[in-house]
Parts: sequence; C-alpha cells; structure tokens
Amino acid sequence: MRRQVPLLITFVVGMIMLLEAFVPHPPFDEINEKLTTTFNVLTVFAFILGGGNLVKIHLGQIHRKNPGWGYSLVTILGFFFILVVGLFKFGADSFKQPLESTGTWFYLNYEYCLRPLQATMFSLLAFFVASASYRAFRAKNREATILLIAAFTILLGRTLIGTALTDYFPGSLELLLSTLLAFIAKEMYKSKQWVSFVSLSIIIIVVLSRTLYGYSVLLVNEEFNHLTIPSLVNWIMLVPQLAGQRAIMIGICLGIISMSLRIILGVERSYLGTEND
Amino acid sequence: MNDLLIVTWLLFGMGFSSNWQQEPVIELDSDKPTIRVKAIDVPNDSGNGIIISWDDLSNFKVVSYEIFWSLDPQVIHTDTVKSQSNKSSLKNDAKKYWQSLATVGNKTDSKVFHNAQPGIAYYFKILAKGTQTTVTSNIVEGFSKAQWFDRSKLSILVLGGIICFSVIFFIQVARKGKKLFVRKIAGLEAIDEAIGRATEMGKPIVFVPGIGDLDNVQTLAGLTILGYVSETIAEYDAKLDVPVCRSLVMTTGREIVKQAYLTAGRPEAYNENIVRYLTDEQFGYVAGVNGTLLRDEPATCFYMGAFFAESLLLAETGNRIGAIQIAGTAMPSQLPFFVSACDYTLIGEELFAASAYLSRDPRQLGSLKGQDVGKLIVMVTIVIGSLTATVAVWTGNESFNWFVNYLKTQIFI
Repeated sequence: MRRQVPLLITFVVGMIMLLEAFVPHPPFDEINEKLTTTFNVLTVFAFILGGGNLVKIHLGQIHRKNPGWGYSLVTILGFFFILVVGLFKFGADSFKQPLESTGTWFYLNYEYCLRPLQATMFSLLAFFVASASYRAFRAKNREATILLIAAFTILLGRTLIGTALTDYFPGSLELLLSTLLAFIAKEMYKSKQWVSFVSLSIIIIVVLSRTLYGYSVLLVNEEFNHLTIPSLVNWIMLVPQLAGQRAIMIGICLGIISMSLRIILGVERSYLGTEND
Repeated sequence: MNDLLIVTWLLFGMGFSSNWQQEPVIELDSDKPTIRVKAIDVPNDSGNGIIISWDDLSNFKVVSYEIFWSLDPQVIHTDTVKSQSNKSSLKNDAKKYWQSLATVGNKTDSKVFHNAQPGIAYYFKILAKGTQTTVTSNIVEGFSKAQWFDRSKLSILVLGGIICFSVIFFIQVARKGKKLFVRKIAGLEAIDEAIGRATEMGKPIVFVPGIGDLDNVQTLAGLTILGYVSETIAEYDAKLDVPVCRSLVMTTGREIVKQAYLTAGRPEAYNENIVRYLTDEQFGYVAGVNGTLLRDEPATCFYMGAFFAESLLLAETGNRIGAIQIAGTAMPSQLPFFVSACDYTLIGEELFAASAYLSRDPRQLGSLKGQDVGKLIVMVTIVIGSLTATVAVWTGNESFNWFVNYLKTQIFI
C-alpha cells in the first residue's frame, strides 16, 4: 500500500499532464500552471527540512570541533543573520515595505555580499574554461586534432584577424586549403592509400575549380563569395556543429519519453526508494 | 460618394485645423465600408482568443489603425472620437463604450483579442487614421470557442503515439522473457571500477545529483543511478557523500540511499547525513561542493543530473584533485565541459538509459528497445527529407518543395 498509492498518483497525474498537452479546453488549459504552483508550495515547506538539515549538520560540526568547524560557524552565523534580518525587515521604514526595497539590510546584504560572491564564482569559469580547453585540444589523436583545427578556426573567425587574414586576397583560404590537402594527398599516394588519395584529389580539383571560376567572375567586375575564415566558421557552426547537437537533442527527447513512460507506468520505481513491491 | 467625402474633409481640414482631435470621423455607408473587418475564433485554443483581421480598400494614406471592441453593437459611434480626443473620458464599461484594444502600424492587418470569454458575443471595428482623415470600418460580431483537441499537435500525437506504443510493446515482449541486446555503455561499466578504486584508497565518493529539482526528469534519472551507486558503496563499505541543493531532492535521496543500504544488508552503515543539503543558490552550492572536494579529496566523483554553468567549475576541481569522474547530463551545452574534464560521460539519452542498464530489469530494457523504434523513424525521415530537399534544389520542382516544407512545418514543428 505504501508504494501503490504513490504509483497510482504518479500514473493519474502523468496521464493528466499528457492530456494537457493536447487538450486546450478548460480545465486542462490551467492544469500545468496550477500543478507548478502546487509544486512550488511543496518546495517551500520542504525548504524547512533543508534549512533544518543545514543547521543540524553544522551545529554538530561546531560542537564536535571537527576539522574546518570555523567554516561551519560562518555558515551558521550567516544563515541566522539573513533569517533574522529578513523576517524582521531590518532597515525598512515600515513593516509593509517590501523586503527587497533599497535600504533594507536584506537588500544591502544581497547587493553587496551575495552578488559579488556569485560574480566571483562565475568569473572563475573563465580560468577553468582555459585549462579545460588546453587539455581537450591537445592533438593526441586524429579526432583531437580535428577538434583542435575546428576550435582554432572558430577562434580566428570570431575575431577581426579572421576577416583580415583572408580578405586581403580573394581565394587565399581556398588556395591554402588546396595546398595543405595536396601535401596530405602526396602522403596518401606514397602509402598507396588509393581511395583516400582519389577522394582528396577530387576535393582539391573542386576547390581549385571554384577558385578559378571566382576569379573569372571577378574579372568581369561581378561579385563572387570566395571562401573566407568567417564564412567557414559559419558553415562549421551551422552544419557539423548543429547536426551533432540536434542528434544529441533527438536522443535526449526519446530518452525522456522512454523514462517518463517507465515512471508513469510504474516500471521505474527506484525513485521511490525501492525497486520491489 | 466616399471619395468625395474624404476629399471634402481633406480640404476642410487643411484650411482650418491640423489638430486631429477636432477631426470628425467620416461615417461610411455600412453596406460598403472601405475597411472590411472580420472576426474569427483563434483555432486550437482554450477559447480566449478572437482574430480581428481587415482589408483596407480605402484610397488614402493610413498612418495607423486603432482596433476597438465592445459588448454591445449599439454603442454610438461618436464615443470613439470622444475616447480618442480625451483619454480621461474613456470608460471601462464595454457595454456602453468602445474599448481600445490596440493601435498598430499601417502594415499590420490583424490583431488577436486575448481576453475573450467563450460563447460571449464581442463587437469589433477599426479606425484607420491618416494625417488628415480618420475612417471607420464596419462593425463585426465575433465569438470565441474552446477546442477539445489541438489540431496543430496532431503529428506530435501520432509520432508520440507510435513511440509510446513501441516502448509498451517491447516492455511486454521483455516481460515474456525474450532476451534483448543492449550495447555496452563505458561510463556505466566504469562505475564499479571507480567505487572499487575509492574503497582501495580509503577515500570517500562524492555524488552530485545536479541542481535541478524533483520536477526535472534528469534529476530523477540521476537519483536512480544514486540507488545503484549507493548499494555498491554499501557492499564495498566505502564512504559516500551526497551534497544536494534542493530540499525535495534531499528527502528523496535519503529514501533511496537508505533503501540501498538495506538491500545491501548493511543498514547499520547508513547515516542520515550522507545526503546533506547545502543551499538552493547555484554558485553557493558550487562553492560548497568544491570546498568538500578540495578538503576531503574524494577518489571518485559522480555528476548525474541537470547542470548549468556550474558543470565545469565542479568537474575541473574534481580533475585537479585527481579523482575518477563519471558525469551524465542531458544539457547539450554542458556536455563539452564534462567530456573535457571527466573520465567518462553519459551523453544525453545514456543518462536516461542508465537505470535500465544497471538494474538489468528486462521490462526496463524493453523500454530502451522501444526507444530505438523512435530513432529508426527519425533516421528514415532525415534521409527522406535530405533526399527530397536535394532533388527540390536540383529540379526546382514545387511538389518536392511542398513536401519538404510540410515535413518542416507540420511534422517536425
């Protein structure tokens, strides 16, 4: 019974939410909003449990003088300070004044303590991104090398240098790419990898043909869009990057459908604390 | 006749005044209005919307249109002018006075009235304002109606229905005892090894269930993995630490860990403080977890659930202390961070497959098979769509273009 009731509630609510997605008629049109409000109310009550747990653990740390108990003391002091300041509206002209109005102690604490602390933590991200990128872009194998080249191209393309490098001479990037591919094709030829050699040769011919065609168009004073680093960056972002991201998104959506069905049908019960009846 | 009136008024207005507030509205022959208004119910809604659209056949330069509504068509026309010239006189009683809905530019030809009650008659008219002239439209009646089915979601219903049916079908197939193949997931295979390493080193294991609340399916997926992880930890007699940032996740996490210790036959090793609440604040939570990582130097870290900007802050700190890290999330923007900083990453759907994979429950494995049917549908549609789009570009055939647009706008909205 202890498990049947939650399972039944889950099934009924799950089915109602499914209906809500397809039925715009009242009362289904407001169910989502009302259930969200109910959830938020529940969360507020659950916060008492969370706050209680926080106080209990840190008071225990201080009482036992465990290593790092000083941090616990700071936590407890901070917790009760903001609780008292918020509940009694310190610094407010009257009790009717909103808690977040300028001049209240709660506001001052939020504006001059919490926000700078949040900004500090968030700004650390820049340094972590640098170290993570350094590790990810080391050319350890073929995939990492492709990743490195793509990342470097995007970095270049997002700056002024990217535009300046390829704009001074039309078709410069195409010629550079063709030269690089020709070197790789030469290695393929030497190692008798005929399929790769033929494929690369075709790509080189296509790229060079396009470049030459572009020059012929430019000669008659018409416009032609030669490949540039910014346009290459746009292509990387719009084609391979977006395709990969969409593939992941499709997988996620299917995963969510499957997981939701398992929960609604009661096949997945581990979130209740047990897998058995 | 209408043109004559407009011209007369233009001459009159130019000669005496440029103040539009004093301009009279040209009353038009209601049988042949130059602005024809239509009011139709907004389809597939809960009965709150009426679309007001108009065709402007007048031959003077319109600057803007003002849309009015009322509950009674007998409201006299001059009230409109009164409300225009003196806003303070605008009354809120829609049974006696025209209410201004909106003023839109001259390129707009429709507006949605959102505050309708189903079944009640509403009346609408348009005021076209020129630099010198103001012209009114006919008055139209409009009703709104609530629909029982959103037809625009029919394709979603059909596709979703097929996928749901396949999931349920394969769950039934698995129930009957048929063996189903599920590919190996490296991140999940490594869980036992990672816990074993922590046990050998005598160091704790940290499990972070993300910063999502219990209404997030990723958090639920993370908690199901927590069940398996904590059971293995209980068997190995290792130390577990689960800092959470949501109170509801804390209570649910405690139930799960407690049950796992019971299942492992080591209820005495369970401690309520294994799952502890830190704070709801995103970066406060990061600071708390990072502090724990740096002080306790756990040998293994799990990050399973919904993560945002904190993903890299946590994973890089874990990487710096040399912990084995296994992450799993369905947030595409955070996946690259986990991939670069963690040893194993469950990418998107693998997170949701984890509970089925770890439990080896045939019914759950069956649901994974049903999911594959969805993938097959998507793959076939992508191939057909790509081929059709390519052929459409080559041939310029309108039918192919129509089909591609149909796929884009009707099937995959």
